[in-house]
Amino acid sequence: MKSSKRLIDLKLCLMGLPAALAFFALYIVPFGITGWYSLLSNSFSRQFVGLQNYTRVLNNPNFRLAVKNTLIILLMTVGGASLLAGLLAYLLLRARRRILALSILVLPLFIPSVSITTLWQAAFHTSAFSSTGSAYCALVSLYLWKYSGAGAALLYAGLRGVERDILDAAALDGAGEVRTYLRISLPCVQANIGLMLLVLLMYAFQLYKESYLLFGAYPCRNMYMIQHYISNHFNKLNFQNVAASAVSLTVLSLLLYMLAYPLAGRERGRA
Amino acid sequence: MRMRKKSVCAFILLLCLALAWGTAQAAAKPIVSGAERLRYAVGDQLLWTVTEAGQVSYYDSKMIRTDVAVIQGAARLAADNQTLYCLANDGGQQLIYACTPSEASPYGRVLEAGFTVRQLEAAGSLYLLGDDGCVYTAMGRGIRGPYYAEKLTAQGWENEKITAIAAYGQYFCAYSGQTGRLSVMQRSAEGVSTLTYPSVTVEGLTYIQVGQMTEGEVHLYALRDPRQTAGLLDINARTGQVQQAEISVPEGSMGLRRSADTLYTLSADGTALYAVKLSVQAGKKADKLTLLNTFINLKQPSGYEAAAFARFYERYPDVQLAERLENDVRVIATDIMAGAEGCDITTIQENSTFISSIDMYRAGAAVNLEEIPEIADTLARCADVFAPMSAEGHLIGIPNFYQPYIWSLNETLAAELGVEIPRDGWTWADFFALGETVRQYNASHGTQLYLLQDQVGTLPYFLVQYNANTVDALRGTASYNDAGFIDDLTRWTQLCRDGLVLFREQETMNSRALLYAGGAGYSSAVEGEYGPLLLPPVSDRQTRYPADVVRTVLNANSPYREAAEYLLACLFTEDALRSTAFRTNNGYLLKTDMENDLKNDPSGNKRVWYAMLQNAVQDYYIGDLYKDQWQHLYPQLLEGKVSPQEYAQTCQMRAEMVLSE
Repeated sequence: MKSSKRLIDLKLCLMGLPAALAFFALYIVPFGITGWYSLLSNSFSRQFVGLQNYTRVLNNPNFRLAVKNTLIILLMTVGGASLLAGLLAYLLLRARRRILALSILVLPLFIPSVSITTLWQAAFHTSAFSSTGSAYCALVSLYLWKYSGAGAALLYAGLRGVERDILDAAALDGAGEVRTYLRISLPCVQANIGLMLLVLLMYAFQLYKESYLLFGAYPCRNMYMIQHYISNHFNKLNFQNVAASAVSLTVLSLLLYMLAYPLAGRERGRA
Repeated sequence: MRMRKKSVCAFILLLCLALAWGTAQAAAKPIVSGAERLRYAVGDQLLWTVTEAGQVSYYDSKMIRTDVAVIQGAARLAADNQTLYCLANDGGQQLIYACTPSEASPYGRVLEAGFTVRQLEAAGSLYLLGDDGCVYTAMGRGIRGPYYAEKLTAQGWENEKITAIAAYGQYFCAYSGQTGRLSVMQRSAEGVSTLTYPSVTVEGLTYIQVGQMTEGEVHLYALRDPRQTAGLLDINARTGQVQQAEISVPEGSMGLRRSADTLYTLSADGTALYAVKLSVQAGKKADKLTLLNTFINLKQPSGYEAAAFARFYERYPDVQLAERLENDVRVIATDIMAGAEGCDITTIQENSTFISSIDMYRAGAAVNLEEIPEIADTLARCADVFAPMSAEGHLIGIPNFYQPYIWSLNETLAAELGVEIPRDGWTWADFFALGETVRQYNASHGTQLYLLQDQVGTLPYFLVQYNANTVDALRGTASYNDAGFIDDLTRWTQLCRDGLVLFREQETMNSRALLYAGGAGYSSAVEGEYGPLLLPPVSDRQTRYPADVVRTVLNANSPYREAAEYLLACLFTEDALRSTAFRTNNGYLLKTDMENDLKNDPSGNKRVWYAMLQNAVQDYYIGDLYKDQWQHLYPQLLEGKVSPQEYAQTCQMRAEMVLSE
């Protein structure tokens, strides 16, 4: 019995090996090289300078501004999309044609960014000179439109699994629908909420693409994100700044993921 | 044991196969085919085809086809750079159309010639082989006037009984089927042809084409009548020695044409176009220097370029010079960082390429050229006019093109208006007051005179000059929030709205414009072609004048850095700076020449030219700041959607962001 279990484990390991190797070769190794680059003077003389590049990047007012803006945009987008996803999931549970509604909600995810931004440009008249308010409106609404549906789908999948008995018991105790949803259903699907936050966070970090298409390489001050800083320094051939800020961005994103990860790891029902 | 033997055998077999594959003769492969007979021509980057129905199309490097125009009666084709020349018969008349990728309805110019054209070739000139067996060059009369054919002459060459011609780069070849005489000529910058070697005799050739340079000698490719012998021949143009080429084309192929790295031929039935890479021919990869986005003409070098290349080849005879076009900054940045081939020397014109050589230098990607002794030696003899070529006090690029934006005066109109404009020491306030005079004159006389014809570029001179004085890329500062600037900008906008500024007219100075601002070569400017030169109005005494600069920068990560350094040194010699082609565009940059020049300057134009050069700057083009100004902000300012205050504020914000990044 034990040996057959070991065999299964071995098979699983072997099956996962190509993926692990690919991850190592395509992610860990390049990231290691980037990390090494961030410790060199420049790509040409390649002298070891320790953390000098990090000091320069972290002291740069534009980088600091970019970190602040990135966090604000993440909060607005992920926060907004989570609330909206919660609402949409609630409506989905009560919808008649759920599959159709679900398909419509997930559809924006499959539309290329270029097409969407063209529409948004026309609707919001965005340019590099858009004011902060209109720029926020354009970018956050685009994010909510594109990704809230995906968040709702993830949440809905979890909510469908909540045991009927618990909900019936709550109804017998006199809890209203909304209260049952907020106090009983949602706490039961914390793992799904965690997963949704991870996914929304991942999409929010990718929002630079849309921001670049809408506002260009130098948007108004409040829209300037870490990725703008990285991309602009790449064009200036300042690869050491690129490497140092890319590592910093990774650290920041890992920290944010760590906030959502414990939630995603929780088992169902352990509110 | 048996397994091991099998493995060894398999390995040897694989090795043999690999060796056989590696040494196999490179054969031409079909790249375009169809049911109809094709006509084709090969330019620098484009392959052109014309169908029997007259549909003109071009293929880019990825073989993506774009249909351009329709030319009826197309008979002969040739291409040079980005232009297709198509000779068409139209009711007994011969017309030559010049077609570019953006030209949907090309204009046909009549060819005034008493012969029928048998073959058409283009390389610097347009060569015609007539049915009288003579070679002619087509010369145009005016911009759209007819072509006339002038018989080609070269000392020691008999222009008769010619049956095949070929032209590529600076070489022109002619072959006489009757006498077997094969001649190679070189075309100089002045258009004079000279025999590269005495003619040699090779029998029975049908088609010829310029081949590769091997050990400093010109080789030709040729095809014989398939009844005599099949296959592509490689002929040493100096000795006449014939051997089988290392590349092959299909039996019965018709015609030979080439681009920088590919040889083309048509199938026997004329319906399929075959191509074979020439780089395969050598069998080994020669060291290659690549000039990225260069303005230096490698195929038809001008006087100073040719002299520089000759000097370079003396030391590096086996190094091949190649050019590459790449507009994506990210691709360039990646290649430079990786130390990849293909960007040893980079040509930068900041206002169009949007890659800053100052950024390159700061990142360590551009070399301080003063470290190269030959360049430092020449620089020491130069006048102090190289600020636009420098960063942080070091020379980072050698000039390829270097001109201030000239201002000139329409004296006739000034007399008519009764105004006197000083040649220097006048301000933008004076300029705007002058605008008022012109406005009143127009109103009282019912005329439309312009104060200024502005042909500087995407932004008017007024803003370009202000950028030049406001943005200091080296110090990372900008000062758009200046009350004087906002006031001037308001008045400038009003002037434009009143129709007193004429923008970017294609012709030369408009007779109804009092002043002209734009680019002009040294010769035409000092000779007064645009009228007497004057220094532009200024805002303060420290005015820096914007200049149009193309500089050639050396990539610090170049795998062939030593050779690249030497090539730059060859291009930056006293002889080069004094040579006709360079001087015509850039003026004298050498100290002694400039001093002599100024001593003998009755027109005063040279003094103005040098005053502008001595205060010239280039670092006002800072990527997106400049791009945003002309793409978004300035048009909105003119339309009244953005106020001068908002313009200034936005520019300031943008500049601070770009400069403090």
